[in-house]
Amino acid sequence: MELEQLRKGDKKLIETLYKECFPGISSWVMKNSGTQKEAEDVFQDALVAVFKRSKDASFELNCKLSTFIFGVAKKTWLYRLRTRDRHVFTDFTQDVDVSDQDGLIIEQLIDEEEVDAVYKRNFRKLTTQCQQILSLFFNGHAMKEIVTKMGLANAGLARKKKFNCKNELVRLVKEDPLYIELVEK
Amino acid sequence: MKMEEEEEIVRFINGQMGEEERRVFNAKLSTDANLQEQVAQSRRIRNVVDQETVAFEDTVRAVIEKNRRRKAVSPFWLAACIVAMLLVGSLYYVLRPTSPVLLAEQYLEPYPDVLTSRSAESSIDLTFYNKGDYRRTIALLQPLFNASKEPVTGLYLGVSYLMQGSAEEALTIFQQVDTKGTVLEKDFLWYQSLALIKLRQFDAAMEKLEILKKDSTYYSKKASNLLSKLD
Repeated sequence: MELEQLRKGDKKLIETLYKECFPGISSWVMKNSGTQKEAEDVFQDALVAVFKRSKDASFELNCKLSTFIFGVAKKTWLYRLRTRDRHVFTDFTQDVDVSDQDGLIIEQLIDEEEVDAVYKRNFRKLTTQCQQILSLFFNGHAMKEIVTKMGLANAGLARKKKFNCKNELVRLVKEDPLYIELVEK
Repeated sequence: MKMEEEEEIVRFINGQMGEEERRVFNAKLSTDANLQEQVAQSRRIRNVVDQETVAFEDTVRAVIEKNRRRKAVSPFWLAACIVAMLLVGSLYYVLRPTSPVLLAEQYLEPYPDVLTSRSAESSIDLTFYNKGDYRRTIALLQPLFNASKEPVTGLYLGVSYLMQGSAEEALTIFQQVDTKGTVLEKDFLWYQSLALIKLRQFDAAMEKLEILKKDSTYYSKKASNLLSKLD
């Protein structure tokens, strides 16, 4: 039920999850060298990660959604602390009541999210035109539509631009030190 | 990779393929490592630009912002402020210095009707006075006092004025009667001092209270207490 609401991006569910999860996440992050702002970012990223995963029809949970999000948020923050060389005071396993299976899903989800984050950061380095053309193309818009929306001469030019933009993004990602670290992990 | 192939990949990851096309693509995908890498890259890019995800992110951010603003004036602190203000207010009310005028009000009591109890044939009627109807008492006693300037009438008339809050008229009445050496002298002094306090003539009031304090009458202790509070 909750997963179905999440797939639809139900605002009421987000409000509920905020009330259920954020105080704990905030307290935990702040106990572990973080700030209120960082706690908000972690909550948002955890929720978005679970939202993306929820679109997979095979995605199921063995615990409460809020517990799972709490686990994802904590793991996300731990990962960020390690990359920033900040001290961790609390053991991750201490307060997270998830099964081994869910724990494994969380691990995979965090790894996936970190790669997505690298793509996202480098996507923002592209020109606005590149960002727009990739956005339209990967959201399933037809080439004819892209030509019209972008004011390009023809579909051939649109394809070429999209091709170059994607290659540029892939190049930036592959040169990103964090991506290299993630791939070697 | 051909440009057309990429459009095929996007249709695959967006679930836009028909059943047969999807089956063929999956078969190819299972054996082609290069295609697998291309699909993985395309999924990543799609994850970044996915409109539903972007909209979801905006909704989550809006919820966070709304709650942050709400926390800025959290109900807990609002309630705490109100409670604190009430406490301070109550404390001030309890500990506040009582004004002399209020003190006089606290000490003011109608002079008892000793006339009616002493004699049924009293010269003045205190029926209204005993009922606390000072307006009618004044209406009744004022003409009598004007005609006689009699101390007993003056005392009840003056006290009636005081009781209904007309300190100036009360004082005028008290000052018209010469009670020196009479049994009512101390009674007049007491009510005059209360009238003077109400009129904020504190020095004159304290002078009369000092006289009462030194005396060993009923008013001595009351005058002493009132003086200590006025100080």
